[in-house]
Amino acid sequence: MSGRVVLQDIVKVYRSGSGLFRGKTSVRAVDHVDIMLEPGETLGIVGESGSGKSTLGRIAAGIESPTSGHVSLDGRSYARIGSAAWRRERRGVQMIFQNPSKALDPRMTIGAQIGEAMQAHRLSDTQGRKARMEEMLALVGLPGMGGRYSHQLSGGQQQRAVIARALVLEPRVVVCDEAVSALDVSVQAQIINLLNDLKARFGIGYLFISHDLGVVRHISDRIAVMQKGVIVETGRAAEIFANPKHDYTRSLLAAVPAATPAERRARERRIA
Amino acid sequence: MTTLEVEALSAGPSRQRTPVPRLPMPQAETVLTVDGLTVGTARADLVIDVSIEVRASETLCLVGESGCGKSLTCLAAMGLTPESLTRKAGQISFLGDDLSRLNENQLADIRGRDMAMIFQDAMAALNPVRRVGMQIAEVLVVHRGLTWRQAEKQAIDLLASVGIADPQSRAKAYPHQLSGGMCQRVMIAMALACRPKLLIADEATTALDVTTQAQILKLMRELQAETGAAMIFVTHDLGVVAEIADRVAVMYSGRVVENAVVDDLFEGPQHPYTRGLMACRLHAASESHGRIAAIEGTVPSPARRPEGCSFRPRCPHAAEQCIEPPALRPVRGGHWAACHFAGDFA
Repeated sequence: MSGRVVLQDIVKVYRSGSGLFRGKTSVRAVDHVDIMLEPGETLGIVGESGSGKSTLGRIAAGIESPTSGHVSLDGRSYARIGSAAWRRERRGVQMIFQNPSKALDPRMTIGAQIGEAMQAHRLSDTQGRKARMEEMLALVGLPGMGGRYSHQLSGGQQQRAVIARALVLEPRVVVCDEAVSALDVSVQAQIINLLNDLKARFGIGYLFISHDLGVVRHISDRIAVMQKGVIVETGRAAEIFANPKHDYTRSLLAAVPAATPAERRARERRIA
Repeated sequence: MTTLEVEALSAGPSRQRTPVPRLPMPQAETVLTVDGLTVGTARADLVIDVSIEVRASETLCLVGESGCGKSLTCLAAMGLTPESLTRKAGQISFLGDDLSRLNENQLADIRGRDMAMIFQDAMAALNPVRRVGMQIAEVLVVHRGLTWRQAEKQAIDLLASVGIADPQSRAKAYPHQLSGGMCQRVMIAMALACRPKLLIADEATTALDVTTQAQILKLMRELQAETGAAMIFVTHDLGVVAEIADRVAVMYSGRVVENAVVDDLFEGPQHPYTRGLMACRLHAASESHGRIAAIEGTVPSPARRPEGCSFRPRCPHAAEQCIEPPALRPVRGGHWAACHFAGDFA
């Protein structure tokens, strides 16, 4: 099975503000990061807003280029963004974002959008694409709904459509950037189950970026904790939660709300 | 709808109202009572027969998914029902006064002084072109009649009280120069400026990072202990509920389906919706594998609610009698649920 993404010594610097009275400022969003996503693995990336986890995800997905460093999928370096080779490569790594209503085109049916993705990568003929689209929609729990527009779907259904559009290209890796964060809890659980089912079925690897530690713990095999552009700790999911080594990881875990009021009181007694 | 019409409706003899569940805390003053509130458009009701009560020093959490009527209930409680909607029934009394008897000037007087509300997106709620110190000071000038000079001094004290370091210089900042957590602190400072009797927080910590959320929740608990304010906390996060609630009202599709003291709710939820929400929680402190017990389906749109119990199509316990809408009824002392099978769940 293939689908190994390697990020080596990634640095991303954003420059801004060449105003009349202010000098240029630069922000180091990602600061010498090395991570590897094994084939079929779910690697969770956690951290607070501004920690650089989304930037890292965009670099892994190939939609943003690092200032320095090297990214590869199955040993092949990513091509220059915008090049013909890069467009071909995009098929292998897909991305799912937080807000499905913004990710879908409001003026196209979801079936047409899934067809367009296949057409862009010259997959199959018109007939074949239609059959494949139907199959994919059934797989994500939207059977026969290809004729719907995004505004006719609920938030959870929209995210299912986005997942169908990404997976129809048979990617090896999917980068999920807060993919369930905007969904209601009951729907969130449905989508996480769906992502896990699809992983078991197709052996897809996920780079799963989220600020929600409960979700990350459930879905991930391994976890990387990011703070200020640096990965401060990585390890097996169970290990990180049971035995956090870095102070920042500990402070994140300590801030998670209690599961029950009884647990909260126990914590307050410990502190007092 | 005019005041008279509302009165005519609420005085109507035909409707039987759900009694208001109360906490066994008779000594504390009742701050807000919402009794049988129904709000909607001509085509659909968005809030149906909601009865809640909150007392001084007590925190009530309104829990449920989006579109269940939590925020609308709060807006109605502030006398801020959107113009496109009508209050079809129900009474809201604040410190013993019937809100519908007050005119807009009297309401404006109460809002900001005796009751205050904070929202999810603090950055959007603040005025982007005014310094935050001035925005807090304005509340004090309008409601407490302070001079600007006095108000500005007090605004700095308020910023310090919500845990903002270097309040003197932060008071001069514009909202865009502050982080999300900092803006939320400014909103809290503004809301608490007049020491309100009632503070409503609508998903106030949802957009914040966990560490910031923990700080804000702690801050709100401390400020409540100090001021004795009643709080209504709207959230979809049961973790936040565990952190802050005394009593919880779970809403589903416009109705309160369960109402209980927080410990009772976590130890023995009696409505299948509440049980479903508890079961699909993913908590960082406990290991979980495989499939999550998701609640299948979605919240019905208010115009297309199923007959009988609104939760019926998603409910694992749905049976024949669920075609009859279940009333909110007491299961045991102070624990209410709107399910025919409430009390049967361990």
